Amino acid sequence: MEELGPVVVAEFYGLPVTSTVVMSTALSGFIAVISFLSTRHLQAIPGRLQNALETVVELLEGLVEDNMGEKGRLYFPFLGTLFLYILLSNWMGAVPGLKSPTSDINVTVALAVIVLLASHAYGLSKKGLAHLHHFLEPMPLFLPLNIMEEITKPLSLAFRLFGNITGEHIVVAVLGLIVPLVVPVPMSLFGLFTGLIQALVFTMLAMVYIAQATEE
Amino acid sequence: MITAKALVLAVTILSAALAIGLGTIGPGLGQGMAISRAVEGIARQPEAADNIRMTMLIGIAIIESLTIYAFVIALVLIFANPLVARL
Repeated sequence: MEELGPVVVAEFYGLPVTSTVVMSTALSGFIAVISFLSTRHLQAIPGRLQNALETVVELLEGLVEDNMGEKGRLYFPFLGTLFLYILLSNWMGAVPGLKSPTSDINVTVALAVIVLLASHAYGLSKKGLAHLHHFLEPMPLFLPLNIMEEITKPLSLAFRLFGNITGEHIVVAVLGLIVPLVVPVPMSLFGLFTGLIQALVFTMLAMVYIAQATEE
Repeated sequence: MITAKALVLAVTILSAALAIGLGTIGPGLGQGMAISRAVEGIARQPEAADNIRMTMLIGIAIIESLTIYAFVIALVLIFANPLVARL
């Protein structure tokens, strides 16, 4: 079970560099390079790469528009990036030798805090200081409860993603210890499904929080 | 003679097992209810199957997070126990 949790692989001027940092940076680089390559020479009749990426983007756009309506297009870049990053990092764990960045709780907490800050930033930029009034709804007495809710939101987001992905890895690892051949493969395939659902749930909840913060 | 550390370790293991065991009961029942209603809905209105399935999956994943919290607690108890370090 050595693979549980991040491992320090190098040191950068005294700062420890964990395997999570390496994997996460590699994944971000991969997404950036693929996006760059496929959108440099946009054509009316798309090539293979452009076609694949267009399908993904259109699917995500449809998802955001179904849930947030026409105004959701404004938040589509943020939500789409979030979804792609989480989905691919969940799936990374299925490749031997690679580790899911999302099986490190630091990554999921960071993502959840980004979602929280983004929802408030969108709310503030859309409604100004009137956005802060929702802390006093339905009456000023509810202020502590509303603040508590803002803390539990990222907590549950982060723990849900971390727990699901880590649990999946542990189950596969334990199965591999008992029966190393064939048996862990279906579980690993099920992990791909869980990874997709969890990425979807994370993005959906981010959508709901942003929609709540920006509604009139 | 049982040392304090052995006692803490034993209780830790027991509570980790209890956390995940008891933590699955409620979400298990809840997921069963959600799925049975979704199947009923699909049987009654097969044309809405895609919509219902999507909503059900999201709902189930959110119910499942309750078990996942228990699982995180169990993980903390086993791999990052704050009490053993204090002894």
